Amino acid sequence: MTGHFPILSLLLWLPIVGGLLVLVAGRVAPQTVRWLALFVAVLSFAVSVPLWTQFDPTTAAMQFTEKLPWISTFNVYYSLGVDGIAMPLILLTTFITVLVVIAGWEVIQYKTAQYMAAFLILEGLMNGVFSAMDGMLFYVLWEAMLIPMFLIIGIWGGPRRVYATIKFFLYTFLGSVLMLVALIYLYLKAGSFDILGFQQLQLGMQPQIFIFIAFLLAFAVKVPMWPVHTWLPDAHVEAPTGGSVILAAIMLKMGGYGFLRFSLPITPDASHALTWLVVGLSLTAIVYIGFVAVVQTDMKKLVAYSSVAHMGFVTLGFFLLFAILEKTGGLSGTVMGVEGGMVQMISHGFISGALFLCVGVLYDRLHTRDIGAYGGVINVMPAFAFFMVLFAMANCGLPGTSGFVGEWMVILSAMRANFWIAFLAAFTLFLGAAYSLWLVKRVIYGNIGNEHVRAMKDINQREMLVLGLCAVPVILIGIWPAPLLDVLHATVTNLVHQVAQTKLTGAIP
Amino acid sequence: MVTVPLILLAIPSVIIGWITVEPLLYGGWLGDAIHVAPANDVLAKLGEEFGSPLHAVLDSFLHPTLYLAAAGAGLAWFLYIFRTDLPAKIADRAKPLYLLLANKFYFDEVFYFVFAGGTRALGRLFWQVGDVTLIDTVAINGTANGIGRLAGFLRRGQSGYLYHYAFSMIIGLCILLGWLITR
Repeated sequence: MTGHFPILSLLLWLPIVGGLLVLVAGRVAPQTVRWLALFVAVLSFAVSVPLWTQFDPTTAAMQFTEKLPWISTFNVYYSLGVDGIAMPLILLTTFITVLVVIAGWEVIQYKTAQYMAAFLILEGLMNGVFSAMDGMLFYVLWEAMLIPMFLIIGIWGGPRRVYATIKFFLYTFLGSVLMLVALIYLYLKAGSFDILGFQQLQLGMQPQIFIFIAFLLAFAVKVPMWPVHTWLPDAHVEAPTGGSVILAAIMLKMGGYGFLRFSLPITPDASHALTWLVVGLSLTAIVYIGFVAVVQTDMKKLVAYSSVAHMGFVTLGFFLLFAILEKTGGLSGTVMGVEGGMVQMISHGFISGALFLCVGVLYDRLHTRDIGAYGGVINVMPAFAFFMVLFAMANCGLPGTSGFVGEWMVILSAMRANFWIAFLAAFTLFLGAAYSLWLVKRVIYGNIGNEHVRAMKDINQREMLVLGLCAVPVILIGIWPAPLLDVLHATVTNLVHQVAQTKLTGAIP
Repeated sequence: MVTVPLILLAIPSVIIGWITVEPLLYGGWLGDAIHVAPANDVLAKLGEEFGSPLHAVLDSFLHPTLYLAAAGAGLAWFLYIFRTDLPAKIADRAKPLYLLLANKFYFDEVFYFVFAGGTRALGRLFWQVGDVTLIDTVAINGTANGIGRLAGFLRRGQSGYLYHYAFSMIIGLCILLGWLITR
């Protein structure tokens, strides 16, 4: 404990305690649960804002650190801290949770208190994952996160929710168990679970490869990367709107975060040796999944597949590092790739969240996600159409929206590595436009498809507020990404230099 | 309806062209922002003959460009204002050529079929064959079913008869002893 106000602990525990209070309130005063949940969510967001305003962007060191012994027998600490990569993700989490609470306001009538409580507890756990500096604490929070999500899909989900939850759980659990094995191995080598200690640990090539693959499976499932992505469309389709939003906006980012926090710095040489694998899988995700997204007839599946393709960009940006290093022998351009991947993660958080909210708005009115059931929505819902078109444009990376910034940085960086990587990556521009704009054309434009569409009411003030709150960061990052890049820069630069350093000289075999 | 806007656009375009043609093309307005290799420098060649805007206007009477443009305008007037029955007759006489031109050489149709159709076909292939069949049915559910079948097979060993268990213990003991002796 370093004397300052424990913001990170508060961000971990406040939503969890608040969630429990909401559960209690559900018993004694059910009419207050929505307001109480909103209060907790807004308060958590307010608590997270000083992370940004008091953040020192000139250093790559961990900030707002807290450290208390937890299980001293195994050198496990309750250790929290954030750097330039974790901090924006925490703000994204607290912000999106507020939206999810507002979005579920009237829609969720069944077990409202439990619904709100699940999201608040999930928020606390996710904040914890992004700020944990101890491997064991990270693992516990990472697994604990599955429980609220499991309940959210399993209780408030669609007709095939049981299949979807079990698939989701088995996939992510299988990956993370292998991560646990890797963490235990690292603990035995390092003597503690300190993640920064892991990063300093000298490791031979063979252990690095095994550790890298264990981490890769855990994070690849989460991202998700091709071919372990098929749980995502199922989970999204069955999840309630709020669940889809959290899943797409934040939980997928944990995979990307894991690559930056664990894979790259702990096993730089294995990452280097297996760059072809990750770059290959990322490009497959971008091209193959892009094509798959085009032919979807279910709006949620379309957005889900589009998420997989966009996350392919994130992992591509991260792993271009070694390709550039090999080709040019220098590090110029590598920072841009990693930063591009990070910007893409933040941007995708807002855009995919907003698109799922848009699908939710339509679903609340017509109770179908089938694209063919819509058409001409703009005639009856002009305000909604404005937002949906905006987010669809952002999804295909239109300049002026946040979607453009990350894609542009990654493609530019890919060009330094290899023309063909950049060429394939650029497929996303045309495929993204194809599936996003074709979706908009069929749902929003044209003549009114049927009488049900004619009877649809435009978004109310609550929905307007939620979509408007999403639109602000999408446009803000699009036209002025500098504040976000400033926060990232020191950390990413440090990371790139750390990763470029081989661990093989003087390694423990 | 568009006449007035067109007039309003035409007048300033003449004035602006008159004023700026020389400094823009042959003067220094663009500085050295555009680099052209000496062998390709068409503008320099033109600049040798360029005197003033008025000179250029008078010069145009000596070249066919002006007369071709005027003939085009005249032909348009003849076909679409004077003899409006002719265009349909010409189209009828040269039907294939007319259709080819009217449909812009069918580029839209070809692109629609090849690119839009191809993208959808490829998407369906990746989705149905790749995701649904290979990944979900064969790899994922196949593993689950395989484990179920393996468990079903192993379950037969658990018959509940004591002599089955005793028999397998003896077999196991024999294998173990055999291994220890022959090792």
